[in-house]
Amino acid sequence: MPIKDWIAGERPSAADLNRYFMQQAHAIKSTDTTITSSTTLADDPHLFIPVQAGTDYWVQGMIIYNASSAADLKITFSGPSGATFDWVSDSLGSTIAAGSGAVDIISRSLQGLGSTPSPGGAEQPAGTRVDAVSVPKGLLRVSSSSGTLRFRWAQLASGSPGTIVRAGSLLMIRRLTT
Amino acid sequence: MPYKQFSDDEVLTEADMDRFWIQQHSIIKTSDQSVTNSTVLVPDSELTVPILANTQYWLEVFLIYDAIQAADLKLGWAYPAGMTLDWSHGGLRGGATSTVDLISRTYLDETGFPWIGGPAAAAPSIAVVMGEGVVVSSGTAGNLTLRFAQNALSATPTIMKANSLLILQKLTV
Repeated sequence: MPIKDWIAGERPSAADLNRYFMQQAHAIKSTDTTITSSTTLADDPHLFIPVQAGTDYWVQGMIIYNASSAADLKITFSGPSGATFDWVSDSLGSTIAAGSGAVDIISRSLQGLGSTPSPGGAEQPAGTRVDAVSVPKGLLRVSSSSGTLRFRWAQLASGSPGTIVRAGSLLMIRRLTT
Repeated sequence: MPYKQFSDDEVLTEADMDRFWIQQHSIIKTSDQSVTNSTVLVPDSELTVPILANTQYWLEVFLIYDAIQAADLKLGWAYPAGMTLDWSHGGLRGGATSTVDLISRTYLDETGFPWIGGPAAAAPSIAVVMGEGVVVSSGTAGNLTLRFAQNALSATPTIMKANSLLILQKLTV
């Protein structure tokens, strides 16, 4: 039975607790980080979470960013050896026109661990940058090696002023049980 | 009270267990499943979850599919009598020509069978449906099962891919 109806007087077993109750971990970015004139992916200093061997996770993020439509944002995730990560950036396309703001085409492209989708920089009007949000989600399957799920990013096209990932951005993982 | 601060040595009551601790169930699809030359919805062979009577759930789906533009994807549900589902599939619009395109936030109920775009003219044409919704069951328990088909007949199969995921989270009141 996938969901349990508890009975008065019942003693929850370890198996019950491990099976039925959702466990989660999260990281909230504490300060803005800026990358200027660089397309080289860098570890985000705040958005990373340890993950255990032999475990599946539902991963959700909310990446608040500010980028010009010329530079955009490039994002990826790194994880332990042997892990797979099927995910979608759920973000603005990188080809959106300057001036259209943050209401435009959205990605439903399937990504893997290490793939580098490119959320578009939003400007409204053209030349005035506005904050936008990428909401990545996906299934992380950790193999026999534990390690760290880490958010990494850079500019898609090198430029100045820099691309910013804002404080308040979130990375959250939920352990999946079957 | 929406949240509880537990105390040392406190005895957990049945009501506490049912109310404050979130239970979930997830199904990860282990193999691909194809529909060819058919617009008739078929049950997904793996993405099915038992539903308790008189219970509310938050539903999330992450569906990896391969469908060409000429076939696309159609989704639907099989469900216990009296169950309702309010949801939105969040996938590519019907008629999409890229994996980065307009997406749908159309409201759907349990009887809806949305048309979801295949992003490319030729296979592989892979994209993801990321939908959410609220399940409310009545007095009848049973299975909630994803169904899918092609939206237009094609000899090129529409495929629900392995690692597609369905998560059910029990809502407590």
